[in-house]
Amino acid sequence: MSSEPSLVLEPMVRRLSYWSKLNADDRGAILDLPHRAKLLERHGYIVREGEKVSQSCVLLSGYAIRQKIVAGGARQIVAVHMKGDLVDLQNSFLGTADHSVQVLTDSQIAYIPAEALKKLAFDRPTVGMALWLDTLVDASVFREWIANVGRRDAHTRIAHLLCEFALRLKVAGLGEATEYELPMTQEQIADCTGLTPVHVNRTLKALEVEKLIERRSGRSVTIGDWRKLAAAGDFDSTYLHLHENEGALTVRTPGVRRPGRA
Amino acid sequence: MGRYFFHLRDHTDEMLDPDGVELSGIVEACSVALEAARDTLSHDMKNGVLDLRYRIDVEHAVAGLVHSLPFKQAFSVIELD
Repeated sequence: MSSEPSLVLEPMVRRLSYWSKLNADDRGAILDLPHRAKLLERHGYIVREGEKVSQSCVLLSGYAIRQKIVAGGARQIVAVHMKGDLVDLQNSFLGTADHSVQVLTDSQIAYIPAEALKKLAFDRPTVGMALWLDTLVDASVFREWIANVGRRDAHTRIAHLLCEFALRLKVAGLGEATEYELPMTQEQIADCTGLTPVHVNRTLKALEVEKLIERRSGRSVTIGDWRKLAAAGDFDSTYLHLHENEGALTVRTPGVRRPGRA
Repeated sequence: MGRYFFHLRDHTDEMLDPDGVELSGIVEACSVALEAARDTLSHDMKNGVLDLRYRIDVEHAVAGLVHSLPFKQAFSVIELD
């Protein structure tokens, strides 16, 4: 009698297969990883900064954020995650959480013992490479977000974020590139972009007035002219490392580097 | 405690806050409004134009309008003698 493998971790297989060619045995080994599935209610914590961590977490459905709280109590959201993402690979391999991870919506998650993941990575180098690539892409997105918050104005920041969500939601099968539901409140967008919710509200309105986006109801976003929104957001999808056909909407006005800078 | 909404209005237009924020009370709400006005104005300043027609109306989910902050009252200016 043969037992069918659990498919709970299928979103993780899909995510890791995006950048790596995993064979059937690799995929089976991922599906066979020991795990504990759990439904986490909206705003629940996957891990809090400072906690000792011995397990990784895969987001099976819903949305999650990585965040840091500064001394004055203000929050900076440093990453947004969606279905299939390994939201806590970094904390779990380092042992102590250096940031908190919280779900934005009711979310299905699966905890995987970090030791089991490490063993799999060494037993199957293709899977190990896939996990490494996943963290490298995460790091690439972090770099882009630093540039976004540090050097772009409010209008450009928000336009950039809307472009990023458009492509990532499309790749995750959660929306169309030109029409989707924003998974965040204006307060959360503000914390992603280093602005206040009032400023986010005004900026979204400005993007509407310029006919770059439409918001028909609630959090729905319709992108009227992708090329114009991408140009307004200084958006170049290279940092997302998407397949060629999926980042093809990219348009960028080349920046002019200031002279005299090292 | 309560949910406060921060609506941005000028003499012709309004940008309603659809979500609101859970805050400890009116004192914190006023502080949030002040920070929001200054955040918006500081970015405007980088572009060289301060639009002082706006105000932030703070509404409590139950009590309604509890505070109104014209942008012009969010900062002071020290001018040359």
